[in-house]
Amino acid sequence: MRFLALLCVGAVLWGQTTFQEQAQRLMNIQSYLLDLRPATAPEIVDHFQIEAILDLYPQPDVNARIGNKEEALDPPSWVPKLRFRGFFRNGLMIGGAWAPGIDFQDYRAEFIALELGYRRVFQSWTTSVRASYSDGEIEGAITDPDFEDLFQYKNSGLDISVGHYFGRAHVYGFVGWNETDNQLDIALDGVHLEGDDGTYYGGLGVQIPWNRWRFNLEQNATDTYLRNLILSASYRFGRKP
Amino acid sequence: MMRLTLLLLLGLAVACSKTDTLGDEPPREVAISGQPTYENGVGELLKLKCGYCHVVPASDLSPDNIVTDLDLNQYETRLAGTQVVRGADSIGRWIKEGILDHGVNAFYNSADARQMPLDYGTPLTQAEKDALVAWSAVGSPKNSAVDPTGDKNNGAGPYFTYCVQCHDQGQGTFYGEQYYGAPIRRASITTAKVKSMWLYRVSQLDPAPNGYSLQPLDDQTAADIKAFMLDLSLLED
Repeated sequence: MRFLALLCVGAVLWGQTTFQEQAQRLMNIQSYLLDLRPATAPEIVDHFQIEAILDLYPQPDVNARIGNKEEALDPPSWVPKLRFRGFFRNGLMIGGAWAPGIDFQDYRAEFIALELGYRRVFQSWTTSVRASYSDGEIEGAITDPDFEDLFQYKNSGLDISVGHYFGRAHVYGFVGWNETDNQLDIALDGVHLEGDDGTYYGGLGVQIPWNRWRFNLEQNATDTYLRNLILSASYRFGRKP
Repeated sequence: MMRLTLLLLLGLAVACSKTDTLGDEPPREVAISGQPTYENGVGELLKLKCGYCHVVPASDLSPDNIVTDLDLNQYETRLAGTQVVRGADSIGRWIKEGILDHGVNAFYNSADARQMPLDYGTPLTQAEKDALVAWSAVGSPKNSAVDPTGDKNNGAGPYFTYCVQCHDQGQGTFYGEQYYGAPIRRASITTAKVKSMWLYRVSQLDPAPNGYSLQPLDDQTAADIKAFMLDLSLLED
């Protein structure tokens, strides 16, 4: 096919990628990893409960090469996040996480994340629809170890979940769509990168309850660029049923 | 409880975390068949790998310290008001000086240029570099059209007014170890290059001598100057 194209015109664009595409992809991955994404099992409650959740993200290896340059980005191998959810007996769920400015490994990050969902039982199936939004920024050595760059992101997501109990194990799956809007200011050269993109995401998970505790394992994936594992442990506050 | 623990362990065993960043992907390539000209591949190549930064006015992707008068999304050096905006017809000598392989500080009164593209830009493939070097060697032509024939007698006046001070008899002049005027390669003399340098040079002189003004040179005068230059005694081969 390329040979035929060569016969027709003098110049043919082929091959793989540009630095803009590489930069956009890297920003998308970081935006997603920094998000409030775990769906967790769409459990239904019969009285109001508040849940404190600690998520652990094993960070995947990130090939941070752009053009001929290896970006300095060096995230920690495990990232913990603390968030809260409130469950209402009518099926509503609200959640949020907020970090006013935390320092880790010479990076400074702040973010806010919100989610709103509705859950319902259909016979033996649990279901959920959820909208989420997150907005954050990170300052630190992203492109060069000697300079502090600024990365900003916004994510808006909408997903549905379906779950089923197998014994005590609540197994679930989910699919959704995420819109990402991100920007990177590179201190070294004064370059400003920005872009918006969208991706399907989905995953499978299992939640194991133990008294007021919930232990959750979730395999999360976007359609093209990321597979990530999320481990969560949560504790429910509220009166015992 | 044991079964649940086993279920979790099984989940962990099959779960994975990985990314596809495009970091291992080779750069996109503009394949050029035949003689490279601006209209045959070089223009597309320059737009793809240079023009996102080298654009007038500068883009968000342009580094803070970038030259502000170079636009590689166009071929001709042009006037924008009273500012001369250099086009792709002006970069042949920079390629000759090796800017695709290393930084260049060969030109007097000119910013030191880093190797292009910058490290984080989309790299040039070897075939693309070869095409740009070949294009530079023949005067960075726009297309394969033949230059109009000029009269060298008519070209002498403009040459001695504007060009000889820097280029002398074709061998160039130096300020220390830098070019005050670069040597002229015989094969690189084109009317397009003459017109490009003319506009750039006139813009540096205020007021313009001998009644010349900051206007693009017409094709015939450019052809006359070219004809005269081809007779210079110390051209670089």
